[in-house]
Amino acid sequence: MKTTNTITTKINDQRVEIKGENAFMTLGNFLRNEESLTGTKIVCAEGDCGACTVLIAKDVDASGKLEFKSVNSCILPLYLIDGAQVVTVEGIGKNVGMNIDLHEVQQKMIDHNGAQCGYCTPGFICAMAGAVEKVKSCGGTLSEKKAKNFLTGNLCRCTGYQPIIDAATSIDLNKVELLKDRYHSPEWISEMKTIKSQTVEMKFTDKSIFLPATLKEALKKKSEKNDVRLIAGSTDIGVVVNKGKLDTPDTMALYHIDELNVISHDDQFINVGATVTLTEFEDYVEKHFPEMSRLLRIFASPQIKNQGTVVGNVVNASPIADTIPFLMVSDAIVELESTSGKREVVLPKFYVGYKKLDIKADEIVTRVKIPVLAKNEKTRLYKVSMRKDLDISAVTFAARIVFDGKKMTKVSIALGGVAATVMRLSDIEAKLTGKDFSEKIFHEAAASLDQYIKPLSDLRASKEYRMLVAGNYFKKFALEIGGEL
Amino acid sequence: MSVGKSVHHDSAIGHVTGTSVFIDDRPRLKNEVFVGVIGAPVCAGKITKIDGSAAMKVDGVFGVFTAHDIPHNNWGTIVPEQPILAFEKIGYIDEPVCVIACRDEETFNKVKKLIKIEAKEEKPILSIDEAIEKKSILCEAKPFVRGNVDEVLKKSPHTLKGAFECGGQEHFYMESQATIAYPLENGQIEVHSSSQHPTETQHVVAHALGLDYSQVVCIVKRMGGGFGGKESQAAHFAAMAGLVAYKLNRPARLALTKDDDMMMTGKRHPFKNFYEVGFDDNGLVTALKVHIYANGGAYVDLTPSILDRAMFHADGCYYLENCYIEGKAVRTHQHSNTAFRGFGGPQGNMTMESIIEDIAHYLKKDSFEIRRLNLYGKESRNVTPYNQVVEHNVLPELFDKLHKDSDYEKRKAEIKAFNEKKNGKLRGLSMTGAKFGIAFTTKFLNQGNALVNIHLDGTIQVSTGATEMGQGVNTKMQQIAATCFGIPHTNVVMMPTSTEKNHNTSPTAASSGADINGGAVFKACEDLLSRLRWVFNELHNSGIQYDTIKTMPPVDLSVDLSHIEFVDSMVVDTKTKKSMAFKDLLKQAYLNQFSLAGYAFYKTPDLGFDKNTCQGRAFNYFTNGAAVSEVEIDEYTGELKVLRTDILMDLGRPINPGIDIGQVSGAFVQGMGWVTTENLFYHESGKLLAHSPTTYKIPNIQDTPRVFNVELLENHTNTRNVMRSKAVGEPPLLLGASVWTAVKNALFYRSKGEVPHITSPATNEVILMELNRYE
Repeated sequence: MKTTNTITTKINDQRVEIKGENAFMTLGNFLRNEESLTGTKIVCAEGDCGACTVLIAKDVDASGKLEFKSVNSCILPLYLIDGAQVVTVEGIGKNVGMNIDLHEVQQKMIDHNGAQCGYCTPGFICAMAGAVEKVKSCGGTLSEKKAKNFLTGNLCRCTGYQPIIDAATSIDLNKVELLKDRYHSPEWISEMKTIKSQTVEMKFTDKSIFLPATLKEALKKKSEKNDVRLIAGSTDIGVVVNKGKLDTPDTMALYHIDELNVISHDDQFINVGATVTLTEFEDYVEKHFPEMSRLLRIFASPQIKNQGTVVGNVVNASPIADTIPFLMVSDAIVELESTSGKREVVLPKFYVGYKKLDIKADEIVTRVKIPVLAKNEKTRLYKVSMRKDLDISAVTFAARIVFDGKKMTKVSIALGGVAATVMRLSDIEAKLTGKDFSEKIFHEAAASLDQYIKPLSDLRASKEYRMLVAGNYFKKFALEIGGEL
Repeated sequence: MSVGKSVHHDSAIGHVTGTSVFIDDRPRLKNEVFVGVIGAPVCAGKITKIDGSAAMKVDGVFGVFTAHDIPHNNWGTIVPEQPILAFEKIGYIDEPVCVIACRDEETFNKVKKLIKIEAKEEKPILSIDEAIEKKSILCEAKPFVRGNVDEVLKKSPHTLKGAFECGGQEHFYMESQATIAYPLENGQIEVHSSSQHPTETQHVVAHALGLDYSQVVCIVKRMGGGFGGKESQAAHFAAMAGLVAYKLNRPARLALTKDDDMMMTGKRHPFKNFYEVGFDDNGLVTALKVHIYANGGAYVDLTPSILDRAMFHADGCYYLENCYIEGKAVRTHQHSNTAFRGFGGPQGNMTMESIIEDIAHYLKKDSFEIRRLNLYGKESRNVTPYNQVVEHNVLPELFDKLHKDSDYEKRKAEIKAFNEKKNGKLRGLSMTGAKFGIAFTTKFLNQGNALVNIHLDGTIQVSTGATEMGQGVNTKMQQIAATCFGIPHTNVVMMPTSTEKNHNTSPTAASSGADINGGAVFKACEDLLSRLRWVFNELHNSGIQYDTIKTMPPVDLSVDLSHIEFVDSMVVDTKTKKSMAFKDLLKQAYLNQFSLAGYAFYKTPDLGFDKNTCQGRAFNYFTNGAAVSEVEIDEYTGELKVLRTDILMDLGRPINPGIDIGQVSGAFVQGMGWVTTENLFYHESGKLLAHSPTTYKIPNIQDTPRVFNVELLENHTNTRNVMRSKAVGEPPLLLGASVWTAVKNALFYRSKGEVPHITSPATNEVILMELNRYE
């Protein structure tokens, strides 16, 4: 296996090689400080405002052309764009010298007064161009609903968004020359594949980066160096590093390992590899398990979903993670691997305490296996946060019930945001199992909640509010399910 | 004619292509240094020691500076009492205490932990209630008094008593505070700042460093949003960068992170307003008594003026026959609160709208009916509590038109039926209004100046004291100049705001940017036009030959030459039908040694509010508007959706309707954020914990009302402002209150006859807890 010490990328069609400690820089800072591409703005440095949005293509789509997706460049380390192609706001239009030939999204933003102060605008332009790449490639149209979903990750403080919505929905897809066509280059695509098949190793006096090309190499590294920091999408670690709360001296990114970037299913399970992004997961279940995808709509922004991974969300182990309650009631299984072999842990048992996992020092989580929902199951996932979209949960609730007629033969209920980990309510589950469904017994269960949970107060919600919502979710669930039986 | 057209923003192309240059986009110079700011560790107390020696030993650190390094360490727009860097006394937690000059941001992040600040902690005052109890008063205003309130209250058929409480609001301009100071030769400094007030920034930098004002130039190309947050509070950060530039003789760049910006800078003032209102069976207000309390934070800043404006707007859109409006601001150990779009107006206006909503619920009537009944009249009931007549009052037609256009009655009936279904969702509907006074209430600020340079190819450069923060003031001035000379607006270029071209300017604030500076541009153009008309007249009508170059006599302004018009890049004498190209006339003027530069000074006429009697003309005119909002609450979680908002604004004859509609939708959503999700959450120790978008929630694209109609009322009656336009920046922010009153309206359907009581912002939690109270 060939090993290099260089990160290779293309930025607005210019080939760029990064050697040395710059590889630890975020893409956003690199663009602004090293490439003089200051159109990309850094505002929050935590992936929550979208001003730093750029497009990156790490893969090709079904037509063999680059698949451009929006990401937050402020939390994306350069080593995660090895072999990727980047397009910034400066590369959206066709620019020759000072002369600019505007892209359709740019023209529509001008026509509809979509830019006021202009600081969020480059991020919106890139996110909108990303929407157009996907929608036009799929032969769809950019409806108002879709436009809003694609722009959920971008904050604007000036316009009240209406002019931006008007701009997005007036885009004439026929007038758009897709970036994947404009930047298409078979040579680059073949080079991209070569780059991604290589292992990268960069060592400095006090830090190092390792991008293994195979799982075998990764497991070897982990067994030799237990404290190496594993990175998949960096959407969480990137924030913590930016805020000065974490140093990552020795880093291993899993991004080149093809075998971890696989999502598949059989009769029993959907198998989600460690580097499968939330977008890929969402797209996959939308196609194969539509009822499951409905549950996942509430998750994050496109920029985060395009970069962040399902497994990352699981191992980050936050008590308010959005996927965990759902995975927990599904009895999802975590697959762990080390040089000495594989083992499986069912999700509730994986969480030992606050951010504490049942994982050995030399193990890597390679995939999550999610049991396929059966026909006689009812599942719901609820979440409340300070703002409806793009916000961290205050309380999450997931419930899954297997029915035999009216009888509840299996009951799984999980709550998040009410304890140190997302928790299964096994006592309540036991009480409900075997009973016939009625709204009343769910109301009783809600009333008994204070025996099992002791939520805390923080800036997202008070303990009283959390308690109230947790109980209300039982009632809401009963009302919704009752209507379907 | 360019005025009245929706031409696009003059920076639109730059914005969408990423080529617009903001402060931190300026290329880094080789010898440039990064300026990092370190804040105070506690809310109150005294700094006993600042030790930067460990940091100084690190490679790439060039200096650690404290209050001791600043020649004059005090600033403040109204009272110069605020330290640039805290000296001994700590005003609030995270207050700037020292600055580090270093190679780059990375170095700063590495060394900031090495700065040791020791302090003797004292018990802080953290709320209005606490401050009232401890008599920590920052300033007081003379009350507005009309009639005999106490007497009438006693006799009123009904009275309601209570307190309206609203939280602060973070500006959340996307571009955090940023400034670069370049040392020039001869001890001069050029400051580039993201500032709404270049003149104050220039003065504060010069004063701090002991320089003459003439040694400092402040330049503002644009801001990535301001909203009032860069009116006063850009200046001391510029002084910090100036200090480093001065000490090291190197360019110094200061660009705060969003977290530091949110922790260190002031916000909208929280208010707690105690009231007693009397009314009759129909809901007609007979008397109102209000004691207004604003939380000023640690320093005076602009608080007295903000308090004034809250009092000026405590009437809302409603006539108060008997009233007593009193105001006080308290001093607390929090970030020094400052200007924010509306400037106290929203807090005053919303108090009255809340009271009206309560009266409706108390009487079990619809709130529109109560509003309509109390609205300012056209011929009578049209005098404000401070004795200014509301001229050309459009409020009645505005309210009636919106009531009809928004299908208010039909939707009210639908909502009633919907709420009876009890399906876990609850809806509410409410209309509120805005009557926003236009003019700085500090009279002398109502002045501006402009420089208009005409080039020989017929294109024009305009410079004023107005600063562009996205609101489109430059575009409007571009249109004014283009209209004056009858040329395309693209032939007019707005130049960066600079104190060397326009000095002694007022902040771009109080919605007055286009009024004052546009007025000055108009006057400068008028001066140039009269000169050019005279040249044209001499050339065509006085027998002087085009090709005879000789000095003309000076302009005789007593001759009426208004029949010479400037249209479609031509100059036409409508009497003689003679004409020539604008460009050719310029050439003749130049060859005949006429100045093609216009400089003019403008002041808003006829303002006359007497601060001693609290009577008189405080405002040049009023900008009016109304909004109807329909909301839906999830009864399980208290989550709120705005289903529909209809807005009708009176903006006179808008200079640029497209830009103005953008201002309206933007201001409304910002106001909606203030009253719903934007919750400044503090730790009990006083530290702000909501200091980034992860923890502080401004509206997102999904929060914009599902149906959002913005319309402008046709109104040609405003002769008091440039081109008969009206100011737009702040007034529509007040309309965000309609979302909050609609929440109250929704809650009333479940409150079992009780008047709902909620604070602002109405977060999910506030709503759910109130619903739970009815259980």
